[in-house]
Order: sequence, then C-alpha cells, then structure tokens
Amino acid sequence: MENKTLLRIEHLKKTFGDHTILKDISMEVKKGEVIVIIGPSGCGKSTFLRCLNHLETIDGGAVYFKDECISGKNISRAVICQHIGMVFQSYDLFNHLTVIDNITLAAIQVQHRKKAEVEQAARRLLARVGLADKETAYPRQLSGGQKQRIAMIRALILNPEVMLFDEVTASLDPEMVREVLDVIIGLTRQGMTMLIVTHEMSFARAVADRIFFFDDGQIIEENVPERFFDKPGTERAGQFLNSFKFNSVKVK
Amino acid sequence: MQDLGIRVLFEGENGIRLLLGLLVTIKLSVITIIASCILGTIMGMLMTLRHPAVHFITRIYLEFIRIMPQLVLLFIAYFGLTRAAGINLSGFTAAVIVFILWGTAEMGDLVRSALISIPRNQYESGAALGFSKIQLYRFIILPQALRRLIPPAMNLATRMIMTTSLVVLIGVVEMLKVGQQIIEANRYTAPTAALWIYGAIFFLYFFSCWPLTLAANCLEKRWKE
Repeated sequence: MENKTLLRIEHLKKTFGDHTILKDISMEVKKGEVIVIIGPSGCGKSTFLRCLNHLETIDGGAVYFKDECISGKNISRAVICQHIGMVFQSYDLFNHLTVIDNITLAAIQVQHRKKAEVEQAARRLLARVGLADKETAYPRQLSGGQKQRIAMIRALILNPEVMLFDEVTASLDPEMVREVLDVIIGLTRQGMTMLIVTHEMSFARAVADRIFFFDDGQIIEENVPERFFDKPGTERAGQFLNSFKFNSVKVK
Repeated sequence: MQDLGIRVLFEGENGIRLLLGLLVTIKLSVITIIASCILGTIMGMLMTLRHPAVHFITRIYLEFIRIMPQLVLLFIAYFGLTRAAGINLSGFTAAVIVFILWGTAEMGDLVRSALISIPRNQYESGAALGFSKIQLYRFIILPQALRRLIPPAMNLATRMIMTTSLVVLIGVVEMLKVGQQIIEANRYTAPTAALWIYGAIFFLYFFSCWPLTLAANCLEKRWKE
C-alpha cells in the first residue's frame, strides 16, 4: 500500500426531506486500501457509497479524488465514473444485450475506446473470473453469481481507480457468495482501492485494512479488523456483532 | 340469383375502385401510425419526467382524447373548426390531425407504462457506468422498453386502421365508402351485392391488419427476454 491519499471525504451530509441519513462523515482512503463499512440496515452505508459517485446529490461537505473536488454539481458523471466504479446488490445486467456487449458498451460509448481492444480486454477479464464460455450468453441464461461477476467486470473494464461494492452478495444464494467474493479477493491482491459494504463478517475480517462501523448516519467506530471483531471499542459495535453470533443461544 | 352478387365485384372498375379506396385507408393509417409512434415516444418520455406542469398538461390531453369518441373529434376538427375559426380543412387533413392526436395520446401512455416498467436499477447501473441521460435512453432503456411495447403498440395500430372507417362520416371516400357506393349503384340489378362487397372489404381489412400481427409475433419471438 502506498501512502498517497486517493479519496478524501469531508463532513459529508445527506438528507431526505426531514430525515438526515448521513450526519457528518469524514474519511480518508489511501491508494490500495480496502475499507469495509458495516452497520445495521438503514444506517446510511449504502447512501454513503452512492454519494461518492453522484447517484445521490449531497447536502453538505465535499468529496475529493486526488485533491480534486468531485462532489460539485458541475462535475459530469462521465468524469467521475472514469475514476470510481460501482457494483450493486441487484447486479442489473442489461437484459437485451449479450454478456460481451454488456461489458463493452460503456467502454465504447462513454470512453470512446476501440471495439476490438475493449473486446479483447473483456475476454481477458471473463477468463479471469472463469466465465470465458459465457461471452455470447444473455443474462437470462446465467445464475445470480455469474451475473454478479459479469457486473463486476463491466465496472472494472473502465479501469477505475476506486471500486465501490454495495452489498454485492446480499441477493445471492449462499453457495454463490464465494465465487463473487473471490473476485474481490483477487482485486485486493492487485492493489485495488475499494470501499465495500457487506454483511459477510468473516469476509470483512479477511479482506479489510480498516473497518468503519456506521450507525444512525455516523461513524461510530473505526478500527483494524482483528481488534474490531475480537474486542470492539464501542458498545454499539459490540451489540451489533453479537447479533451475528449464536454461541449464547440455547434452544434445547 | 346467387351469382349476381359476386359479379358486381368484377364489373367495370368496381374492383379497382375498391382497391383505390383501400389505398386511401392505408395512406391515412400509415401516415397517422408513423406520426403517432414518433410523437407518442416523445410524449411518453415527457410523461415520465416528474415535472408538475408537464404532468398536468399531458394528463389533461390524454384524458380529453380518451373520453371523446373519435367520431366527435372528427366532427370537431371538420365542422367545428370551420364554424368557430373559419379554418376549412379537407376531410382527409382533418382525419389525419384527429388520428395523430388520438394515436399520440394512446401511444404516449403505452410508452410511459413501458418506460416505468423498466426497473430503476437499470437506470442506476447505467448511470454508475458513466452514461449520459441521452445515452442511457438510447442504449439501455428504450431498447428494453421497445420489447415490452411491441404487443400493445401493434394492437393500437390495428385499432387505428379499423377506426379509419369513421372518416366516411366527414366525407372522405375510403374503402368502406367506395363499397357503399358500389352497393347503392347496383341496388336494383344485384340486390345481394352487399354481402359480397362487404365480404371483400372484410378480407381487405383482414389482410391489412394481419401482417402487423405476424410482425409483432415474429419480433416477440426474437426478443424473448
């Protein structure tokens, strides 16, 4: 990991009507760092990711990418998406396009890259995630795990410097979770900078450089994974983690 | 006497006249259906904007056109405009205007419902890949909406073709009118001609609409999601 700050978030605020979703979030992400954000549902962790790449407008604060402010209203989304890729819970492949067209469409239309070059890159990525034979398949012919891996490639082919993963395994059958998480683990090895929202605790522990625990629109705790999971520094984080454990439950 | 009726169909220029009448029907249909598709797409996209004024205006337009029988609209355009504003439209022009207004409203509503049936996630994942609004519609939303639109749009087109027969009532001589004229002219020499002429018209309408249904089925098969 280099010591260069890639993404800097300062006093980020987000409200929906009277409801404040994000109260005052500040965070610095270094190049190559893997940040895992966890917290109860409704704590604002997904909204936080969506604010970073303009899917939501922000109501206060600023986001800097390499010291350049990218949260202004006049910044075009096409520019931001050059730097920041995002993958969602509900994979959302474009159903009318084949796998290869799904992957290459944005690179060709938004980045104006050559079709041949992009397709070659797409094939390389498909092979890397073990889906080389699915090039001409349509999304309806794929399993959830396969779709999600392709959604990841679709974001990665644009060569982003930061990847946002918003609960990418939440709508998958349990046996498909692993194949998707393995792709993320592969990215960690390549030094990709990532912000990951997940409920997979053992995965979070394995992959994270730092854990941020969100609750009620605030960062409650920031910690390294070992300490966070073994001996959380705040009571709320402890309570939250306990809800995943069944050690103390006695049924019989 | 049975053979007298069918003979009328081939007498003189009757057959040709009927086909020329069909040509008027088809011309009217093609012009108005194409215009309605284009304007309806724009209208449908406008209706999905959450702009209060746009929403209000398009809603009123849609409801007004829907509530009015097409015949009343034709009368307003043909007789009403002349009376009220002194604008003298030919029957054909009045019919084109009315059918475009009607088709655009109906088509707009179909496009609107096709667009909102595309999940919000499709817009968002497109946006996250950096597509501009226009690219988003062009490459992702419209192609998918079109696939859902084909069956109801073909249904509308067929309805429009059949409804063009109403223009008889504002003096446009199309297939049905020609048929009536032929029947009237042969009332005494061939009283059973009506059956044959209307039978012929039935088949001509059928063969005008049938290709649309075939095309729709074909496209649906090819685009099966």
